[in-house]
Amino acid sequence: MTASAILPERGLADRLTAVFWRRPRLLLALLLTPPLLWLGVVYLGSLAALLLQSFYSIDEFSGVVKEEFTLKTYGELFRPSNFDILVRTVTMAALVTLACAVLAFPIAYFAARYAKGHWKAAFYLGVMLPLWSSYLVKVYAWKLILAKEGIIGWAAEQTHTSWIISGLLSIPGLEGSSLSTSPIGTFMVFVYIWLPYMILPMQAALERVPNSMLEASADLGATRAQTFRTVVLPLALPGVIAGSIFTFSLTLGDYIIPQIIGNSANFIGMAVYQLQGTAGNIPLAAAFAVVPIGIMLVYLALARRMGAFDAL
Amino acid sequence: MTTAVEFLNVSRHFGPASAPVRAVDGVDLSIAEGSFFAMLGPSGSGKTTCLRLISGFEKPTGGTIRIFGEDVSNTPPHLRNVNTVFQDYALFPHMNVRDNVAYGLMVKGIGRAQRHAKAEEMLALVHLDSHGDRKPGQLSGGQRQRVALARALVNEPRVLLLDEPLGALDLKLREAMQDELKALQKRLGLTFVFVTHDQHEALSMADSLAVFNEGKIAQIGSPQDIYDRPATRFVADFVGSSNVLPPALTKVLGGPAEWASLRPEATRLAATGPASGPVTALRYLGSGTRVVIDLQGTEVAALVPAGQPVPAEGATTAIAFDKDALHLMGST
Ligand SMILES: Nc1ncnc2c1ncn2[C@@H]1O[C@H](COP(=O)(O)OP(=O)(O)OP(=O)(O)O)[C@@H](O)[C@H]1O
Ligand SMILES: [Mg+2]
Repeated sequence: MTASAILPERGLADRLTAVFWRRPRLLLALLLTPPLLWLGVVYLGSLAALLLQSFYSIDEFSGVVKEEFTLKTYGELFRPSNFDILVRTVTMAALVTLACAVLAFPIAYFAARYAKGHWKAAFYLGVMLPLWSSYLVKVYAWKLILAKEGIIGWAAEQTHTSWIISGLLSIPGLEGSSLSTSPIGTFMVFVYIWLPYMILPMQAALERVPNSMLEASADLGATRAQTFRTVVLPLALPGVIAGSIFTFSLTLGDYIIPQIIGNSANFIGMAVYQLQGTAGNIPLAAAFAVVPIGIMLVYLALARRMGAFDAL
Repeated sequence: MTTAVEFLNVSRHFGPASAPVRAVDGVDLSIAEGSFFAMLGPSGSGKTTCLRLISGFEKPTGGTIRIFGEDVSNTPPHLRNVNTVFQDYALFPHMNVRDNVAYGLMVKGIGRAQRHAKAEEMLALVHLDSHGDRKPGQLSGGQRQRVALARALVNEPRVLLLDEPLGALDLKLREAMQDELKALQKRLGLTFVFVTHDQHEALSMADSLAVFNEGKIAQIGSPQDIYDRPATRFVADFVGSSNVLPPALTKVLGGPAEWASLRPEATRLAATGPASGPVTALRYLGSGTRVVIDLQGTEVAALVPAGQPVPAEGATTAIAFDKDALHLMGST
């Protein structure tokens, strides 16, 4: 008996597979429609609504939103009290991103290049474990750690290094009765909370740099520092940029950490929270919320201009 | 003649001392300056590890390595005047071809104009002038291989290490590159250390070659030595095409009771002889026919030149050969 050239259909799955084979785009369309609907309507739609709101203004006497196009609300962002908030938030986000990058790189590098088997598992667990516990719990835990009677203060006292902390706390602009009421504390907690979001994309990027490439560089006479600058960094840059987008934008938008830790100076997130809530000034809240989006777009354009995505 | 690379009882073991992987195990070798030296051996026999010991990416666990007479035990890779063409080429994907080739000069601090001029010169050497602006991703496999070669040559190393550089190429390109590499080596007068597991490549290109087996050198010598006078059964088997005769058969054929090798080219068919058997396979090779005869359970091949009568499959025939064509390999 000779076998037929065409195998019999076994059921619905076979028939569906055949349909998809004949019309490859159908499967793609079916897969993409739900997320595109969500992305297009709900996500981009609300973004558009936000943008629209920011071009309205509020009537100063009645407190009612005037629904006509104006740039007046954006102008208000430049009032000294508001502009301070922008500068403070952007500076904090930039410093947090920088610190995260510096702290994350060695960890990501170790994980990507040397960690194998159990060590790799330990790395993932170590990086992700903090993400499993509540954000608020972690922030309040840090408040205790940073308090005057907290472990850092205690350790400093035992080692007679309290003068370092009091020295830091007397720097103009960073004053506070303890680390937990100083901008230094806010900075430390931001770095702690967002660090995993820098480590993971960096590690993924470094993982893609083959060992032979580093060896080729050394083989051609490069020192470790030269290899790092000319090979490792350019190839890992997309990962560094991805991580910095996380840490930068997360810091720009956060409104809880600066409320709990630090000197209660306003950040963009807190301002948005207060403006749309108690003050009922939705247009100004929207204008504040557009600022991080604008900053991120400028940042990405700069990164692209510098060739950060050439290795993609 | 100076010695370019010298191994004195060099070992590289991996893993725990109780159960080490003996990647390289007590190797002695010496590579003459200006020669084309090939390392041949089956997969996992320690060829790459040997190369990495020369370039400095592995440290020996025993023995001494000398490059041009100098002990390099404490010399890191970037200070060794040795360059490598990597098996996967390892070109930098974010740099164009010119910058890839100029990399070795850039890290030495040589100015842009000067290093680019030199890079263009190297690219011309490998017939890739006018490709300098492309990214490695826009090149074919053979072109990438040439860029890797140009990049390794730009520093004017005294020894060039090549780890199966032609492995990824198709047969035709491979043969063209073999000729080019050999010509380049002659012209530049450099020492090439070339790793391959292709015996034809090793035999046709090398001035001398080492056959590796399980981390040890099974034989080292000229291609003629290795091909005509294999030292062990392993070498005869691996280099191939030679007949390997067990002691009993050697004795029947008129030799002492030892393992021996016999080249098919030196073997003729005869009507009568000390041993005869049926023809089990015929393979037409163009220049002649390879006739395989079953002699007392051992397959022995003879080469019948074109134009001479070829027996039919299954016909019984005997073999004859010149006495000195029989090469004895001892009892191992
Ligand atoms: N870093 C390492 N750790 C442990 N074992 C290793 C390591 N590098 C090589 N080996 C082992 O050493 C032996 C020799 O490896 P090597 O790469 O030198 O072989 P090779 O001759 O180049 O083989 P191939 O032709 O497949 O490239 C192999 O058994 C390999 O598994
Ligand atoms: Mg190898």
